[in-house]
Amino acid sequence: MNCRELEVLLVEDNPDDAALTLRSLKKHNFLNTIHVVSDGAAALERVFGDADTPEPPLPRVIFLDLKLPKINGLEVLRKLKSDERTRSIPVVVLTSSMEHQDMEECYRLGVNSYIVKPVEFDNFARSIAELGLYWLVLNKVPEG
Amino acid sequence: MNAYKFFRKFELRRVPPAFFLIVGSMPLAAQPASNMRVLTFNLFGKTARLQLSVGTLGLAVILMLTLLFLLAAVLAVFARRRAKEAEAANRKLNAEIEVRKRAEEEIRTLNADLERRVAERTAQLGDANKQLEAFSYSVAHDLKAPLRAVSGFSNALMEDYGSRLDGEARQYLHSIARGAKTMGKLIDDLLAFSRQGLKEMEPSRIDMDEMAKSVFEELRRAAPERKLECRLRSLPSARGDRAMVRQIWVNLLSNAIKFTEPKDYPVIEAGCAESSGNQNIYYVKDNGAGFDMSYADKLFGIFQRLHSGKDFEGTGVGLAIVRRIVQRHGGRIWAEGRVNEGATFHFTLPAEGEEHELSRTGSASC
Repeated sequence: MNCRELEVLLVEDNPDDAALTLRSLKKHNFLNTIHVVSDGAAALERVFGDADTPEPPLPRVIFLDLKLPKINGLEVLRKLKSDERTRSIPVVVLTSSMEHQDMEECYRLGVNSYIVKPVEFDNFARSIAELGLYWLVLNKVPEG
Repeated sequence: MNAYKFFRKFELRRVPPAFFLIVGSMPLAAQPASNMRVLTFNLFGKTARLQLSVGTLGLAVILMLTLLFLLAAVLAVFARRRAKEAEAANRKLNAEIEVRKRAEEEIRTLNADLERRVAERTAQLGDANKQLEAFSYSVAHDLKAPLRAVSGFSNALMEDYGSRLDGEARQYLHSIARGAKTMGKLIDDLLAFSRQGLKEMEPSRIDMDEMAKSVFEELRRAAPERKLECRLRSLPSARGDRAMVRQIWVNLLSNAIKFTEPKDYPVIEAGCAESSGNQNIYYVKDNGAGFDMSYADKLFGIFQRLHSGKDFEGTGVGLAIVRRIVQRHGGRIWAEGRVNEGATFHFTLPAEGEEHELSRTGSASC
């Protein structure tokens, strides 16, 4: 099984934000496989598998929103970072929240990066492009 | 001498029986002799005999009994009166005790009620604070997402289909994007403002010289194209929350930099107007756009602006934040200005060592 088959898992409940993120990555020529899920439960299922796919391919990086339906981003992060199999997957929190409590909790749980999504489109597109460059090109992860 | 003879001699046969009572002796024996009774007394260790007629004796006994009865009656009357008095005093005392008990009970009830109400209010305040936090949290998370869509898709439209739109349509798209950007900034500033009211203060000694200097250097680096003259006078140390007080300097100095932009020779001055007593009065002065003193009361209101967005950027939150921080430190802030001649902002902070003053005002929210 190719463990890096899925490259980016984008956990985002807002379809507009998801579309803008995908567009920015595409615009900057990142043609990696990106899978979008819209809630925390689906994200955990995608990573840990379900009855049909007990051992799904692990993503190379996870872009995670914090405010999500069903299971929130912090809980997803906690589960990912407390499991031996998924601990080494880089998790980038992509959120609108500049709240101190969110940042503190994320870093306590072992987030790899915390990005506040800018409202302004130019800044947002640039942030996404830089994230893609850093996590998909520059950053190295152990090959499964 | 024979007592009988003695009494006879002095014709004391009719000596009042009270006499015997007084001398404390009792008849030892009474011997009948026709209508006479002989009484033998033991008087001071000597035996005395007294012969009395039966009538006299009876009279004496009756008299004695009457006297005893009268005495008893008088005593009884006195006793009853005393008893009544005592009873009345007792009743009064009981009533007083009852009143006091009731008062104490009332105080206890009032105290309990007060404590309950304080607890209730504290809980309500805690709830209100939590709601406010939840509100800002929700604003931070939810309110910005639609804005990102507005800004994002109007830009995407411009990028992908701009060539097919005429100039006017492109202008509209710019306006949409600019509006979204401004609103994003407003939301961020509003959140920053509400955070200043909720944040717990951590007072410590602040080297104001060093802080003002570092803030100014930082702001100068952000605007390298500006030729700014900054006169930093000696600033006494203050006591306050470091991050908050730094925010005061950031907001006041960046305002001064912003509003001196049209000037050829912008001069910004920071100093201390007064440092006697427990409060220091600091000031930031510039020779910039200034303001009309008739609007001075509006300067510190949230979202209040005295200049148009076209002339000077801004959301009207900076000075509101400064005022909130100063108030939370128990200080005051005021401003003087003249249109096109400049503005001076004065603010007071506790002088170093005013710990008590600060902790008292620290809990006040505004």
